Amino acid sequence: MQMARDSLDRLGDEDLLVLFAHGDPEAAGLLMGRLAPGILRYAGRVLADRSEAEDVTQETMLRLWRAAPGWRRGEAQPRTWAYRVATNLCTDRLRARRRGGMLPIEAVAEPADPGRTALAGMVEADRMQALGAALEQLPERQRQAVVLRHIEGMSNPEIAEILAVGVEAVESLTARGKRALQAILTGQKPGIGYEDEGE
Amino acid sequence: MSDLDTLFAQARAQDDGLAPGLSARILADAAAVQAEVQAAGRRLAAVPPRPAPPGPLSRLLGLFGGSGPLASGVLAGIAGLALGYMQPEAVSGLGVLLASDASAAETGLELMPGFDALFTED
Repeated sequence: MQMARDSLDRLGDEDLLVLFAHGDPEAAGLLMGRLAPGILRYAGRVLADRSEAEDVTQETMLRLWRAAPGWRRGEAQPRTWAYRVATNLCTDRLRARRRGGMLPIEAVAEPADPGRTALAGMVEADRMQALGAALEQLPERQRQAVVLRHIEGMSNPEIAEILAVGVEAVESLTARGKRALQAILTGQKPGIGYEDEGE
Repeated sequence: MSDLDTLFAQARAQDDGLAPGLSARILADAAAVQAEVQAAGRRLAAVPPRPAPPGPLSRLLGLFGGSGPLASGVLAGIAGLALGYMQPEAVSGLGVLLASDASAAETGLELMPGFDALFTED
């Protein structure tokens, strides 16, 4: 079964997953394009390690491919499902790190946009690095909730489903996480041009 | 918008995209899974259809172990009934025959009795 690319573009994630299960070769590429960059970004922020984030992204997508033939429509959205898998994989890796006393080898790469001046690029890279470092200091669940809410732009009910907690718990995690980030970054404002004293 | 929100917006706008190696690995996984799924589908299609489920009579016979054992049971029951009816008259002279030197003809014992005794009224 194979459909024209334009028609596939208009389909939802669930439809693409069904097509993938029926052997459409284009569906995998489209689903990867829709889901994998966000998962990579999320895992990169949570793990602060690009290489591990790539592994998590590949494993998450592999599990999605394997789930496709038995996918039951309406039970979960592939995007939410994939973020939940990625969250669990990140949690496993963070636990393994704590057990092994390992530290992230490589911080998430933050390449500067070549269209900007070198100085502006450096300032933005510094700010992103500072944000990454501040996120690393948050407790795991707060970090996950803050990244999903404020960087991935997800709604609280979606985050609740991904983290397997209630919506109130998500509100609490994101509020506490944001306050903690504010406090951490305020202490670094001369270096990165961070100006807020509060929200 | 607070400075933290600006930072979040900048982080959101950043899109490094997938490294070509990662995209290739993900698509290779997808192709491998698709091939497995299609192979499993072909195997399933090649399996001959299962026979229709047994009807009510077959299920009833199955309770007794099938038609053969059921027929044997019925036959044994009929034989038991027949022997039960015939036994008192047919072997009434057997004790006399065994306890004495008299022959079957002398004692009046019928070794091949008829069915008359079954239909006589007491």
